[in-house]
Amino acid sequence: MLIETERLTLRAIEPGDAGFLTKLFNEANLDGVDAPMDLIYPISEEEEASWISSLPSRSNEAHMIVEKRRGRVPLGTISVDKMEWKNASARLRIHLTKESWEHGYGTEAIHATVAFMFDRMNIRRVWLRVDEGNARAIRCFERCGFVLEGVLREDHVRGGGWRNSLLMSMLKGDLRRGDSD
Amino acid sequence: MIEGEKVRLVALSEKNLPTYRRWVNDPEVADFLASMDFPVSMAEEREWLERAIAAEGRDVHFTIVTKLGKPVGNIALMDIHCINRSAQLGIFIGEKGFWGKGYGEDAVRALLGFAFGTMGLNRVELRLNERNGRALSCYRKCGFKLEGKKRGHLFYRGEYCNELIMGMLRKDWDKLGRRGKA
Repeated sequence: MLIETERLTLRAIEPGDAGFLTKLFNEANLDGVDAPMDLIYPISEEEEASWISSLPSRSNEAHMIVEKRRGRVPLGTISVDKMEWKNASARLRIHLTKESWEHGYGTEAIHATVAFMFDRMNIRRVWLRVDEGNARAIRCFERCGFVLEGVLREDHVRGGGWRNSLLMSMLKGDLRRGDSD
Repeated sequence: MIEGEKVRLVALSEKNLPTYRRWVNDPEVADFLASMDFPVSMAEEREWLERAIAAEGRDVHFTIVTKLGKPVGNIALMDIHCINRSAQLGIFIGEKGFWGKGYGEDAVRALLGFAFGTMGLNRVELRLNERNGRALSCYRKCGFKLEGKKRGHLFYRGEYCNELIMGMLRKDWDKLGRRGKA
């Protein structure tokens, strides 16, 4: 089912999204604190298309397009992966276009996804990793109810240096009900 | 084709794929569908369709269409067991405008006529979420008997809730008379 919020729809990724995703990831500054952490080099639309065609066979992960309800404008992606059924735990990732920042769309999409994971998927813990310099994202995660758990020292390389990440998580009881939906 | 009073049951069709996908992506429609979770892509829905068609013999799926030919939902007999002559019934009405108007009930009756009459089954079973009051009253009206409760079997809206098991035997169906009208 679609995940719907006041302003957003989270839907499945379709072959027609290859162009948008290629542009989204290629406009990211690979040395910036907000680049996707596992992105190494610019990607081609063909690579993106072949990733999309692999999606139905990927279990324990779900990748969605965050779309504005009005005009069906795609704003970015939100993903849940590393789902461990035994431990009821999953990782969250989100990447939105620069133009859509600072409107609370990230908070809205994350809140809905996390609530979906807790209430529908029977997950208890959602965790994420973020560059410690990505203040904007960290603020957003804190607003959603994520709690800082620790620092992953020099766990990734970026901009010519080794950098730290923050490990954050939200437990089912941390979700702020009735806040933004 | 299987004829009801308000609906027909027809074979699944590739042409209806976008409609099927729209239904299972609708949060209200998918609310009680245990197998529906994350948003469904066309590729995933196509895989479902191909699996449903390939399962012929074990599962038989139909699209419920109005007499004017508008698809309004899907219905199936699954896990058809040829020795026990039993099967599991599953149904949903995907067009919300057709909820509460007896379309599901008519489709269930039509399918039961097919299951007991044409297929010669002895038992049709179904399971539902205890909270699904609309489905429960529909199945009761069709003549299903409540047989059991699996406590805490389903995770629904953040908590565990009970699953009900209902069943109908050929002899129950025969007693109801033609087309299941008591």
